[in-house]
Amino acid sequence: MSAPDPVIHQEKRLQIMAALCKLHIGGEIDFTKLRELVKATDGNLGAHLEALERAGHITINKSFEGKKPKTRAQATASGRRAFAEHVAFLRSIIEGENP
Amino acid sequence: MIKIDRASAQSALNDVAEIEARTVQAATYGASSAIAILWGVVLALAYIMNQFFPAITVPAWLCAWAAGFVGTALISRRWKRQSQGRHGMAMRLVCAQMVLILFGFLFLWLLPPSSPRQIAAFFPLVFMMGYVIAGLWMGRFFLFCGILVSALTVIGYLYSGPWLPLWMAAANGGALIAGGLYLRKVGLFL
Repeated sequence: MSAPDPVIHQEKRLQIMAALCKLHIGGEIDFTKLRELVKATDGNLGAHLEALERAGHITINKSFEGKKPKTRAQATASGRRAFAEHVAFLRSIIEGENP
Repeated sequence: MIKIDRASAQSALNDVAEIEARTVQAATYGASSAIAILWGVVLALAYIMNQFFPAITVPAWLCAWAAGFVGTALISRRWKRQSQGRHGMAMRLVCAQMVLILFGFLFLWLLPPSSPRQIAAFFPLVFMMGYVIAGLWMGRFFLFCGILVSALTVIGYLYSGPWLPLWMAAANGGALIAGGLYLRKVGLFL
């Protein structure tokens, strides 16, 4: 029986992982686009990204494009696995395997 | 251990599906932006040639289509490489454009037009039909763009008099360039 991931379980973090895991392996989304995709505020998104990074589910790359700071996030292999397992767990609840 | 009931699980799965669809749409928009700008420029140039140098209309259009297809193929290849071959969408766009052109010629062969003016309005409408159909799956932008350019094409056909090619350069080429720039803003670049 699979178990829920306590970090990914939170609504916004689940959405962030869904967006990042939909990309090809190594695919990144920058902070601004991610904020638009999951409809979060700057502070809220930043906090959730930090939590996901601490759990090892994502990596955050910070760089400069000209004078503009750019923050990009990508899912790690273990993050993708954890997300897939969490989604499988949710499906198992719907299908009645995990009451 | 976290307890999740069936309703919460369903709601979370719905969220996942919605975000995944939004991500795919943003990536599609990002990939389509360069192609839209390319075709906008190419078509605008062809229509301008059509307006001011009518004697070379046919070679100008053949060159424009060739440039459009080669450019689309190059952009698609780059896109496919960047996404590690996971997104074959752009290549399907090239094929879809070719299908529309081939069917366009088939229609012209079956129902020959009585004036070059009809051809000038016909192909944009065929392409925009493709945009409208694509919009049903790929996002509202394509639907909106298809309807807008079709309406402008019909208006131009009816009211632009001898300036139809120039009208089409602005309406068709201009709309695609503006649309492409909008897609650059909202799209996702991998």
